Amino acid sequence: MESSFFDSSVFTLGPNELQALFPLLWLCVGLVFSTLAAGFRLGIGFTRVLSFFVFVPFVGLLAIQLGNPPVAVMGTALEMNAFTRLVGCAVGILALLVSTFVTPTRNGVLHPEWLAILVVQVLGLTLLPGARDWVSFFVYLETLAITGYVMASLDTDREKSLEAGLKYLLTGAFGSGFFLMGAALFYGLTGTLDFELIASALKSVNSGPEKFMALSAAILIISSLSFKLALFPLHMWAPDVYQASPTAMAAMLSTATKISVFGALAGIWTLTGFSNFPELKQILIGLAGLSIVAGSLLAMAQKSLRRLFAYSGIVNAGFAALALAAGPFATGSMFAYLFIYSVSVVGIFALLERFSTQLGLEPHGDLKIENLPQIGRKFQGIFVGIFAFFVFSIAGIPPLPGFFGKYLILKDLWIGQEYFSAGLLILGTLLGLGFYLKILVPLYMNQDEPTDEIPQNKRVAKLWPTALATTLCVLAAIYALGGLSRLPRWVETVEIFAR
Amino acid sequence: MENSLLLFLLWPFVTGLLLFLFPKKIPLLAQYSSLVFQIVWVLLFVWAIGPIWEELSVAGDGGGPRAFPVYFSWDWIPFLKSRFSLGLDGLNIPLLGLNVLLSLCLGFFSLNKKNLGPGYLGLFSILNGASVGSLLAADAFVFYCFWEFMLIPMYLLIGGWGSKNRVYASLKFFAFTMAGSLFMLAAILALAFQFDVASLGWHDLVATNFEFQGWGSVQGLLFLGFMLAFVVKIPVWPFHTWLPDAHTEAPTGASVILAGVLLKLGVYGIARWCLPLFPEASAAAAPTLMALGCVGIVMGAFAAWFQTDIKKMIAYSSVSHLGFMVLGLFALGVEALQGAFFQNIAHGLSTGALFLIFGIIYERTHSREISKYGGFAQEHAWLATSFILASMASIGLPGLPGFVGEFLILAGSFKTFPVYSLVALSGVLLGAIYMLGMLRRFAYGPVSELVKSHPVRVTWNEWASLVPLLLFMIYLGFGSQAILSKVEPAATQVLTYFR
Repeated sequence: MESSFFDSSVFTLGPNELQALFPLLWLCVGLVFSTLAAGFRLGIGFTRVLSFFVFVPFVGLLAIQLGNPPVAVMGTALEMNAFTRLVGCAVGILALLVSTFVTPTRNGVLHPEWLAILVVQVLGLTLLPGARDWVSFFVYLETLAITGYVMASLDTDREKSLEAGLKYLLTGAFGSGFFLMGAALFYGLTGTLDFELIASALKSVNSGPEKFMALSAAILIISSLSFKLALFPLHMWAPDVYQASPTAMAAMLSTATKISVFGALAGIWTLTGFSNFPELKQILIGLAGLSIVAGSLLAMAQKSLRRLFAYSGIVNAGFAALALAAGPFATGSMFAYLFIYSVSVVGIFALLERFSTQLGLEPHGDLKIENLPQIGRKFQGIFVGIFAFFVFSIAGIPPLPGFFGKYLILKDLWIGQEYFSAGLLILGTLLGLGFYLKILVPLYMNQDEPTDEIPQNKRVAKLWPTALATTLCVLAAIYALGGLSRLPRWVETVEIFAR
Repeated sequence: MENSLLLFLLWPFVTGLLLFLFPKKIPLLAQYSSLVFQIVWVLLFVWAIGPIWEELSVAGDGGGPRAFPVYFSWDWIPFLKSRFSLGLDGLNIPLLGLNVLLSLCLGFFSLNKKNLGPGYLGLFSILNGASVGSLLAADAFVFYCFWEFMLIPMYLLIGGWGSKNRVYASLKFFAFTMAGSLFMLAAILALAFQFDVASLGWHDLVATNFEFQGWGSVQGLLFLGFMLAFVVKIPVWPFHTWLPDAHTEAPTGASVILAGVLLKLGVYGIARWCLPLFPEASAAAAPTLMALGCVGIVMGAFAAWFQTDIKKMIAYSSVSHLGFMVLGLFALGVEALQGAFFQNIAHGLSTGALFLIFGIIYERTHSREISKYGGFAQEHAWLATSFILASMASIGLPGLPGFVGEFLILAGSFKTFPVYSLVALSGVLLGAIYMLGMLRRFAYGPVSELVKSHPVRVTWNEWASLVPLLLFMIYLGFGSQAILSKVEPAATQVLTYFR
């Protein structure tokens, strides 16, 4: 078994493999250029333009290849299939959106490395769902984790940002430890790290110490990924990172990671035979339920907007976990849901960045709920309207995009007869009103109080990043609705996991 | 026909979004544009309804009336079994007319009001679109989408432009109605994926037989799911507690639409979705619901009697009057059903006018306490006359529309459940007591300090908003056939499912 791992013949790259890898190679070219740009300390405008040239072709190439047959690269190291490409597209789009509102820090300094780090992050996020053995999985996981630590602490002028990065690093290190332990247990049990071989070995595991070992291995791996997904009770890093990291980076960490890691987890679930153990499913539903209930209750207690959205992220991860637990047939819904959620959150963060600069707070400043009435008075209705659009969308009010994401999951839960999960989803939606409406109340509802003079920043708030996110959000919903039924590619995506 | 209907539906959404883009600093521009948009909307309504207006009073082919003809249909989301279809018949056209009329009046009313800027007018327009959409929907999923979407603009209108306690009232409104509607969503999900229905279209659902053996059976549960959404919206006692708060705190415009359109949608929803789809369950639930209706009539009337706040009194009188409509719906006879729908229009006009007139007064005096008023008729004869006329319509004085509606309901329900009819009769008496009591304290007696110190000079646009309502009220009082003849075939058609 191990011999196949080091067999030299698997390392040869044919034209098929090269074609499949081409988008990733383009990303590597982009990495070279963005590193050079960082080396020459080129300005923010240049790196933003560069990000456009890196991510647009990347997304385009992946989209063109979406329907191509799956290609295995280097044995089990990577499988470029429809789902991997889809995740890559989604992550690339999010990175592109995020680069539009990367802002210099207080002293006008922005570490120009941000683009290089972002590119590596996207690389890791795209590769993760394609891994077919634990070693490559770990390599990809660390790629995105280490860049994540840097992104969280990129604002080196501010202690808060450094603290957030450190917290993320420490919990992330725990997560990695858990992961290695789990992978080692699997190796000890089955003598292999290859997903398919593990799955076939686990089929005969039904009872006794072997089952205990397999379960503990799986639980260790699930909990290590739960750190990344910020599922309760492994969420401790999330509020700090959301609150203190540079806004754009926080947006990326809170959205793209979820898409990629949930995608990977959905793959692992069937490919390595986690689905053979009903206990694991119950554990996942338990984690999801805890995240939904505890996340909602904690969110209601928040005063900082970004912390509030961190807890809302925990709740939403819970919803996605419910879909994951339902089985492979719900993967399409889960992906659609997460993508719509992600685009909305990126839009919200872009607006928060604009609001805080306009109110004279420092960039990446932390907006409190008490600042919201000022925003409501200060800004054109269109900004406030788009903000409300995103918040209502995440809250799941029809016919906004977020509702359709939730409805797709609810539909799959219903079809899969997961009535308990469906109940949790509805409960979570109701609890969610408790804090989403809490944001909109002061935004609209304290307008008649005396207008205080707000120190105004000269720069005009730019509409287009958020307008872009809005459009994308709506398009994503339309695509998810039309696409899930009409485009065979989606069906194929879902079938890959049903196999 | 197709185009005009679709345009009629989309117009308020498009103009609402347009209004958001208007400058905040010149409210007049937005107000006059909004009035123009409303007038165009009225013309669109006439254009859409004109061709079929005469057909409405005629029974359809083969002697029997035509069942809810669909005039627009588009394959929206096939895999959710939803078609975007819009229908028109005698049940929804009168309500559409009421909605259009009230919003035109409010278009006049909001002219020259400093605080009603583009945000208010835009939300208002979108609210109109959503309520019209749920009236037109001939597909359960489409209906649900519009039904829920109504909450957003209404929530923001109450919360953003309401009076002192608005935040609490708007939250309560949102939470109550959304909690009710989530059960309807669950029922719609069950309809789509539990049973072998061709689509969620009204005609396909009506053609399906759901078995009914007690409340635990399929039809019982589905009926309860739909019904919960409607009884909260109407609201039927004991789900009514959100209404007085929402009415009291809402700005005048929102109060008028709430009373005139949103509450009516609950009644309409029962007649459109509950009665034809689940006839056995409806028949079984009829005695209970009629009893609740009676409790609502009596309790609402007593509660109104003891209010010291005029807006709260009108709100409780709404609870009482809507109890009549529930009685009429579940008496399951043609006269009672006709009466319920006629009373819908009558109550919309009279309560709308009451809120509008009191809104005009409140804007000058800023007091809702009945005890602070007195001798209003001596100072402002014309306005007081209008107020008294609207109150008389609300009591149900012969010659005004309230009488026709209540008489038909009482006569219809006497045939099936005489006891309930007699209990409800006491509501008419109580209605006279509390309304006349309020009028005596408000309009007659010595002129109070408040009335003396706050002269109410009614502007031309306020008269323009009020007069059409009063004229229409008088017209309907004598020419009730204009609407009754259109409702009759549709009401007969609903009752065919009970044989």
